[in-house]
Amino acid sequence: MRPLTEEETTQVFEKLAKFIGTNIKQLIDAPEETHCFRLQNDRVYYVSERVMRLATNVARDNLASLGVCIGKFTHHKNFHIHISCLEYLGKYAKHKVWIKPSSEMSFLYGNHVLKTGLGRITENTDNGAGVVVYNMSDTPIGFGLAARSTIDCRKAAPTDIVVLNQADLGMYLRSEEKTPASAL
Amino acid sequence: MSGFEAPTGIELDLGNLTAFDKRIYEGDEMESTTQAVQALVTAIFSLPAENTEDGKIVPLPRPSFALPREKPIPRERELTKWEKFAKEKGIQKRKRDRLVLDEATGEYVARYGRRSKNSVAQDVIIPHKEGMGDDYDPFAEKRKEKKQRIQENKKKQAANIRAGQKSRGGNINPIQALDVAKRGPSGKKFLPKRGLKDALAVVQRSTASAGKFDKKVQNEPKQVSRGVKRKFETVVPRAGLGKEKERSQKIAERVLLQNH
Repeated sequence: MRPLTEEETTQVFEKLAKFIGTNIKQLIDAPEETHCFRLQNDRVYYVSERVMRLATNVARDNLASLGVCIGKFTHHKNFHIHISCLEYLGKYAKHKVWIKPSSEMSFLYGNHVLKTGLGRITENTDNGAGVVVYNMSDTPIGFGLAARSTIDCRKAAPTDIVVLNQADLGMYLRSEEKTPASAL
Repeated sequence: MSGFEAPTGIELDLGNLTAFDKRIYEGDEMESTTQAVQALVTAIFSLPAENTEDGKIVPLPRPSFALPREKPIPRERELTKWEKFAKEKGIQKRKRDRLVLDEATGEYVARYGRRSKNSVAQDVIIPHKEGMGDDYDPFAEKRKEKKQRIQENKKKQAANIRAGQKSRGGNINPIQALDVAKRGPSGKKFLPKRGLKDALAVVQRSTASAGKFDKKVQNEPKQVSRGVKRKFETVVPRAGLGKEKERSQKIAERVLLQNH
């Protein structure tokens, strides 16, 4: 476990900023407890100071996970965001998409969101922006990239893809065998 | 051993041509040595001797005292890469005739090597394939291929030898440049510049003071420090996480500025 270097921090923030924009400041300066970003086994964790201090007692090889896993650095040193940080993305999301109950399951199986499934979408969402996907009862169920801007969505055909699925809650089951639950 | 009995206290080991005087030492080396040697010589002469052209020869019995070796027992030769592979796969060596029938001429020719069935000189006619082009020389190509195969094999041999030496902790040249010496177009060996630099870096550090108090050669380049260790911030700074937070905020602001 170690703090991120400057380059690593930049990479993580760039990815996060895609989804939560200026709200990354809220993550850095958490209102209740001091939080920090820590790297362990190529994965980036968002941890409270207290837990991080406790975790220093565990040997690096034995430390499976701590706090909330934000994502991981791939072998090529790209940063991939993980479903486990949906809690924060859902809380601070800049662009949101609500999907109809009929296509909710389809999304949870890893499929993209089609125009037919689209319930609501935040105004001014650009093409390629990071969006957090909610169901109609306002529970975040995943995130992805907007394949069309808000205006284009209106013109789109019913079978057109509107949001590209990057991660959804179904991953907790689908990728369960790969890694410990929080460290997908 | 024949009838000779050594005097009490003296033990003989004829195989090693040695006599031990096991009596309590009383201060007269000359006497005890004389007795021991006398016993030894008498014992040897009482052994059955053979008369040969070169004279009398006495075969000695096996030594009874196990003399320790000076050097460790030599290790077994390291298997070559192919031998390892063959062992793993269970490939057995089998004897094949050196000669094979050449069906074209009806003669027996060597399987490999000079004037063999596969030798390059054996190919008198090679069919011309389409797409080869007019100036394509299949004979030259074959010769080139053979040369390449030989080169490859030499490389493998060298690698096997190196691996064998390594496993024995043997003397591999620590100065890599001397290993990578290549042959230039003129056939003369030369040291490539890069390897030479590496070698110099090794040599510069290879004294007791790690090169600090060495006499410098004229125009000797400065010692390169290499292997800079990556340094990370402490996991739990003593002054708390305030500084880290500040750093993060700065980065965040920069990222947000760039994106919007």
